[in-house]
Amino acid sequence: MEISKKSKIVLPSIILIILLGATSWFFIQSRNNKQIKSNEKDSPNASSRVQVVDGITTIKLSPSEQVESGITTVKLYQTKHQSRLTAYGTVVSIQDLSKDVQTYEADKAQLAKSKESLFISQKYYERLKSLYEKKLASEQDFQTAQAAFLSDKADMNSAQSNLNSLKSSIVEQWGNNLSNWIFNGSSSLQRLLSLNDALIQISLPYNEVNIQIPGNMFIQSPSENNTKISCRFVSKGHLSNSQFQTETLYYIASGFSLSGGMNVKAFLPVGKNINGVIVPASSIVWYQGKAWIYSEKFTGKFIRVEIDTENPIDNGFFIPQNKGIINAGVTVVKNGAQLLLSEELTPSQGSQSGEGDND
Amino acid sequence: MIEEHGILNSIVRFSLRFRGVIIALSILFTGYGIYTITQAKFGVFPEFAPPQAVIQTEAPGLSPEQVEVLVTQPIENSVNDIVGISSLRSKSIQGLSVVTATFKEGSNIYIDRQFVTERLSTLAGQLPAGVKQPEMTPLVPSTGLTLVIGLTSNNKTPMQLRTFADWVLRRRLLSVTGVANVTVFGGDVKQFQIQVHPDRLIKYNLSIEEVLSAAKRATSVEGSGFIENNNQRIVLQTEGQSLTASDLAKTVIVHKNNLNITLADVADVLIAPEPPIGSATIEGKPGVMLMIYGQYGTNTLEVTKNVEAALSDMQPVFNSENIKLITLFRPADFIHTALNNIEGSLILGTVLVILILLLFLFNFRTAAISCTAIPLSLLASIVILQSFGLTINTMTLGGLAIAIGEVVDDAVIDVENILRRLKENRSSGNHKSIFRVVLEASLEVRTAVIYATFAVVLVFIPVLTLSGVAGRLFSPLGIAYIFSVLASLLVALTVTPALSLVLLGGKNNIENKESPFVHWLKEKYQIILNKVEPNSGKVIAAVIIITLAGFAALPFFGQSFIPELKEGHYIAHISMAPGTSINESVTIGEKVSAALLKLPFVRTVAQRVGRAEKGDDTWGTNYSEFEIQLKPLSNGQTEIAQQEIRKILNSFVGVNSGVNTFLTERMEETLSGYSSSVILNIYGNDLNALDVLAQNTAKILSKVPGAIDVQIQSPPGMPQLAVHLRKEDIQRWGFDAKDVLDAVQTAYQGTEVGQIYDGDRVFTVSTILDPKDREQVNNVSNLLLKNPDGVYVKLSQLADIYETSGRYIILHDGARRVQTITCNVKGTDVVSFVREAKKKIESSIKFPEGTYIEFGGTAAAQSKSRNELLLYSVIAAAGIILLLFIALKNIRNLLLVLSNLPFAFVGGIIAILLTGGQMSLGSMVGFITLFGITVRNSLMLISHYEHLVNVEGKEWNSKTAILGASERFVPIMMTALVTGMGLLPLAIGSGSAGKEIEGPLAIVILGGLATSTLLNLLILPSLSLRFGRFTKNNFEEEQ
Repeated sequence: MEISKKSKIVLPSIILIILLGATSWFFIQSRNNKQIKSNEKDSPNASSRVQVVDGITTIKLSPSEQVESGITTVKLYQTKHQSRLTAYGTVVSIQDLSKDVQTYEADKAQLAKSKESLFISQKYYERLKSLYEKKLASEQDFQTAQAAFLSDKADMNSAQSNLNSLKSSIVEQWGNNLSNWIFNGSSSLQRLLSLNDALIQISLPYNEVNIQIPGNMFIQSPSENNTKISCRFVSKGHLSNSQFQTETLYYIASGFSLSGGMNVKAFLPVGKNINGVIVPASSIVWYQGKAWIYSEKFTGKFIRVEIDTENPIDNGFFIPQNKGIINAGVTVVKNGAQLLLSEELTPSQGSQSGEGDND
Repeated sequence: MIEEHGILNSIVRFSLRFRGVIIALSILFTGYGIYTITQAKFGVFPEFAPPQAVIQTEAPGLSPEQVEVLVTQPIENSVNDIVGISSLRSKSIQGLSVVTATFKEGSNIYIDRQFVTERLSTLAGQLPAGVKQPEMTPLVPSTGLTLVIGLTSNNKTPMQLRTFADWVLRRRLLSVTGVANVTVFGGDVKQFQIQVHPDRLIKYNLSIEEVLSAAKRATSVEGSGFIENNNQRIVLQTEGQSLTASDLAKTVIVHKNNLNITLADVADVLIAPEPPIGSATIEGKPGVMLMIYGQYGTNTLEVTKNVEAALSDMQPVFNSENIKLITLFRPADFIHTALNNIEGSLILGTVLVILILLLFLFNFRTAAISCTAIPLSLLASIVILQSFGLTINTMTLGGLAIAIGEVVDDAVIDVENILRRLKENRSSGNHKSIFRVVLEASLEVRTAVIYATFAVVLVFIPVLTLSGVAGRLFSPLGIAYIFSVLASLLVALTVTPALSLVLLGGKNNIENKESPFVHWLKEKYQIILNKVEPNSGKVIAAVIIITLAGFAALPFFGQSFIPELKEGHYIAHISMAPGTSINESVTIGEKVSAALLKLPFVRTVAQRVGRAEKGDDTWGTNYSEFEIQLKPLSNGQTEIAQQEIRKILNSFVGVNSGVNTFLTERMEETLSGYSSSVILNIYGNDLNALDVLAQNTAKILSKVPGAIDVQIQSPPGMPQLAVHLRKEDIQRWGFDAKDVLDAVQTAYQGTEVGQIYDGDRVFTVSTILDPKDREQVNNVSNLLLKNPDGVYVKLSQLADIYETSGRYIILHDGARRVQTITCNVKGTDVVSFVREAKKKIESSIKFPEGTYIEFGGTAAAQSKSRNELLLYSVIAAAGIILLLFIALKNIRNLLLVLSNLPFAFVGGIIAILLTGGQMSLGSMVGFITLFGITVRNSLMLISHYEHLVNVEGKEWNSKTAILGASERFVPIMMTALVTGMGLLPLAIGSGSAGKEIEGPLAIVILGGLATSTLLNLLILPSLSLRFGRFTKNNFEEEQ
């Protein structure tokens, strides 16, 4: 077959065009790929640090990276901790207590007096009644003695009633123990009344009604340079505090003469002394409504772990033993937890899914 | 035959007759032009941002969701229907709403802002109580940042430094002519604070409201009126307001049992830092950063000079206060470098053009006449640009540089023809007067030149009609070019004939000597032409194949919108997880700064965290920007510097970073509102669904080859503590919701209760909880409120308080909710990256009903610009074809002129291929310019053939074709060489500062010019011989 003259030109032309096009394409592509590779080589970015192994996101950091970014870790050690409630309290004005003591004593004396009068008038009435029945006394004298007897009886009932009412009021106000001191007398009461000790009324926090009342607690007084004063439980009141409308407890601060009416902050230990670890506040990051820390699972490998926030303390949280995986001996990130969270949340996360070693 | 009447004839005749006047006017105009340059406004780029109005509304204490619904939406609804709005974007963050209204191009920005002001005035009653009046931010140009300075001191506290910056330096700078705004980052803002201790309130049985009330009374200022008698009016001035913290502390809250309970009893009253919204570090140490913005329409160089003069005046103050002033970013440096580079190119181009003229014309006088066209035309163009209010910038100067060749060519054609005719006239015995010869010679070539000039003007229509940033960038280049070419046409009609008559009219002024170089070239050309002519078929076939191959390579070119600018300065962005504290951002920033400062090419580093009051940005405390000032570097080193900076940023844990130059960033922000080249907007109503989609999309995007700096602009996961009031409990305890919310706001946000005046400085007084009680999340539940019965109730008794997760910012685009993902592209071109990303996203993510995705940024802009260029190019092409048809009156000859376009095109393609294979917008504009120049050159040859046949009466055959080509050889070579030499300095070092955009443009023109000239000289004669129609009929018909 003879190849036409046109074909002789067209065919090589097409081949040449294809060749030139391909050369251009290779030239440009190889240049671009080289740039991408050099760029990737220079960028140890999030995708190379964040790995997902068995569904757990792990952040792998070299020691130099940790130093450069200021990430430090701390090993958690075992400690004992007892939860405590913070409550507000007032130093009871001793006038209120002494007034109740005095009133009680007066009412008690009044009752005794009424009883004595009744006893006499009753004896007199009974004697006249016997004489009157034997017609040895006039009806008028009998009726007078009867009236005196009934009057004294009413007086005695009234005094008794007053005393009962006062006792109820005292019990309601001061609780059983303190009331007993008032009713029965007590050297402790005398120390209070002589201002050797101070009586503190504590308003329990709202919703904290069923707690086991601690025998001892301490208060912090703003006017006493925030010194902590130990107090012992004395009584549980039956009236709520007008300022807080919550249950009240009475504690005695032995050996302290605090001004009556002074407001104090109280710290009440509740629950048992339990073992666990303290996670520093600087280790905690909040994310999606939960508190997390970063634990160093293996050397240079960090995972995010949710922590229990039921036991806040001054500078962090107490994590009870065997509650989760945060226990004594675990190393956690102390400074730089937010950086790890940022690293984990960069859009490149998950790009290495399924990869990583399991050392 | 030359027509005796007509406009051209009249103009040239007038110019020749009053040649003295014309020359005098030229000298006067040159002087005026030089004066205009001294008064001109200078900038790097033309104003590329469309008219905008940014509305900021402070909404203290409101969450982003509340700001969106209660503040942003009413504002959007109010301004949305203003005439001329082209886009409406908004950002709602905690306590601040920012709405940006962009208006259509060409609208009057002052009237637009007036409309917005009118609408805002009606909003007062519609916004919630406590929300401040919406305000428009000062009007600044897109590249309005004039100077960034930093203040540090060894013996000043951060508060003293900030107070100095706010009340001394900022005031002085705002009074500088041309300064629009100064935003301040860092330091501690001085505030009088009443830090309430809840324990003490309980102790005295007081509430926070009582404290607020007392504090307000203590700081109130009351006017007192005057006393007037028959003689005088005496003004009463009452003083009693607390002026110091100790005064304020003595304010009585209540008087009980003959005892005063004062603010000092329940609170610490002291001077303390205002809760910060931003911070700054200067060279890794705490400091204050000031960003100075120039006014709209001002000259950046002038404003920089004014600001620096003011700073220089204040130097004694800095010295006495022991404050160190550091310049962190000076855009004027780049403007200087860029303008100097391009001015250098312009001057070098001019010198090269003059050398070419001398080499070819071999006559000092003719070269001098031709050269006068350069200053006259370019100055005319500058005068017109100035009268249009345009700045002198790299684009306008680029336009002038491109035009140099054309400008001088107009004169050269004229002079060369005049000289030739004068020589002919002399050799024929001086039959005609010199006046007549010059007049006829000028008019002889003028018609073709006019058509060619108008063709060039038409060619630039697509560039002038480009919309968006591309249009605003390139149209000044087009305008400068067109005006230069039109001015050169006028010069060629007036000054050139006048000077020719004066300088060449004398008998001894015409040397009948040809340049030896030209003579040598002509000889070689004749030889080559004689060899090519018999083999024209093969040569044409080879050329067609190469041209087709060039077209075949086209789809493989990478595309980029704007090349990387060599500003000698980088802005690095780092963002961390939402909710990152200022302290953490500053801590990592100090480490990043220290690492960057170790790089040998870094001069200064400064970090700003979060946002500033009255600033344009709405960043959270998790976001930082670093100003990285470089030492002078070469082009290659700049690239390496950027890589090194990226490497350092990537080495830090938890840092999501991006690096860009200021101008690139401003362009990208103008395009999309973000400083990234690729923008993905996901629209929808459900914020949670948008968050999930954004997360998934970002993951996919980060896996697309070339993706860097992938960021979700509104990332979820911002830690929040929700306080959800329980109505029944609020009622039970006798509160109302506002009491509780106010108390929470006072406790944690602080409530401004008044101001304290210290001389002419005003400081706010705020009531807030003491810092210790604001640290722990758990403490919020224990916040105590006092009800009307005097009972203290904890916040947890009134509200459900729980930790949750929210968002820092809620974005709107066109009043629709949007989640935006941004990224930059490295190692591949943006357009193909976007294509790949689209494919991957569409195949991996199913978008629920009501949600959809849109790509934006430079990729979209480039695609739009390309389509617009194509559309308008078609329209312009039609216009050019019609124009050429009018000029040539012959379809075949018209096609011959157009046949040179593919030749030119393939040269441009080869040039791009050899310089990296990136087709930028500059390259595309380069092609358009190239087509104009090419059409002009081929038109000159074809019209000369017509002249030979129609006017000189030669027969159309191969001899005439070669003769015509030989006669036009020198003008064609000169045109090509002067154009090429004019552009060569631009093309060489095309990546250097100022030449980033015009460089690729010049490369394309140079490449195209080389092939088109070669083919114009070698192939077009053959093509003309084979396919052209040059008969006397045309001319006769015309008669």
